[in-house]
Amino acid sequence: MKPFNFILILALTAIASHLTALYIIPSAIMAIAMEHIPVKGVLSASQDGASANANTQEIRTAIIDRQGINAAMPSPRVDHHMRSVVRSTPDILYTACIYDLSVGPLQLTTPTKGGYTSVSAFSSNTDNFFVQDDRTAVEHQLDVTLVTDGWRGNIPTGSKAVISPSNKGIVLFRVLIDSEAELALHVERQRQARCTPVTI
Amino acid sequence: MKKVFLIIVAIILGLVIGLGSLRTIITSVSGQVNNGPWTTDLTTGGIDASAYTRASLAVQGLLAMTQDQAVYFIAENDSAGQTLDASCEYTLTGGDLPTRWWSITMYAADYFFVPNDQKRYAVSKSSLSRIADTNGQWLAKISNQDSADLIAPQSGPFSMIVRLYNPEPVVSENPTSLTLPTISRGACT
Repeated sequence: MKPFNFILILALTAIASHLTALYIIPSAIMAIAMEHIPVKGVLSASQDGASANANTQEIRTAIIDRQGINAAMPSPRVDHHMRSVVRSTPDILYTACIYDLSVGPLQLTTPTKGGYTSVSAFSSNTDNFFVQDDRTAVEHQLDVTLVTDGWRGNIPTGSKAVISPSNKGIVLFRVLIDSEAELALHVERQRQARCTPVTI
Repeated sequence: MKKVFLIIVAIILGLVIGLGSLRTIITSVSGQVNNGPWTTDLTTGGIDASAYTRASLAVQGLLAMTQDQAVYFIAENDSAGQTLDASCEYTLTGGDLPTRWWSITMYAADYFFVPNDQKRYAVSKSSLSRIADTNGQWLAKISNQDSADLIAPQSGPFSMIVRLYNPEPVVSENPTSLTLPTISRGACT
């Protein structure tokens, strides 16, 4: 084999593998997260019984009952036992919804009174294609409905339609813990986040 | 036979170079903006993010929001440019930031929290405003000791992220003008 051919094969393999992995990685990691978040207990998997939030067991039971798709899964406050999503923060209470719009639109609602609250949606390639927070909430309520492009039909009255670029993805509600003294109130607000399939 | 062997060697070397270079790029901290030891990419999370930003985000910060909602500054070095080393002590000093709320969170080399029973993973506007002086300046201690405000790993590199939620326009319009926290290295063991 001529040296030129050896270098050519090497270079083409390097470029092809580099670019292929570059474009596959985001979707692959999202797919893994979407598989693991329901199974492992949303964003937190605290095994520390002495320090776990009081609502941990109740939340886990709810997750199992709902099987984790198109349903809100509030997480206990994250700690070092959480191994599902990198670089979270303990100052935020997270509630995730793994969504699949192939069965229809999904309504996302949460009360916002009490501090920073947001709902954000991430497509299957990790893009944060939508986010809204409490500053633009109507009457202290966020209410949006995820639909697929080209979907035709009615959405719940008062809800804002948002087109998801992919059928599947992750919705994340965030509630800021800006005061430890008010943690219970923040947890109460977190637990009122809902992901509700829209029935026609 | 020799030709087949050389082709296989070329392919293996190509894979090592292609995938190795990608790993190096997407696991390093890089962004559009540097401010002292802090780095940010204002396209984070956005549909206009580059393929490299998107891949890097997937590995290092999945589910981050776009810059109109939150801006994330990452530090893997101290203010003198040296890699953050858990065998050293550091002081983190700063003041208030032009945003509704901010926090600074510590991460081990695997991007997860540093295990500690005190759960001292982060300091924030609400916790540090209580210890700020009359000029609004605060100080937080970083080390692998239990007395630290932010507990580092026992050894090895670590990183920190400043989060700014609902940032004022200046954060994205002129991020280099911000006075972000200073990270000063102290004694090392």
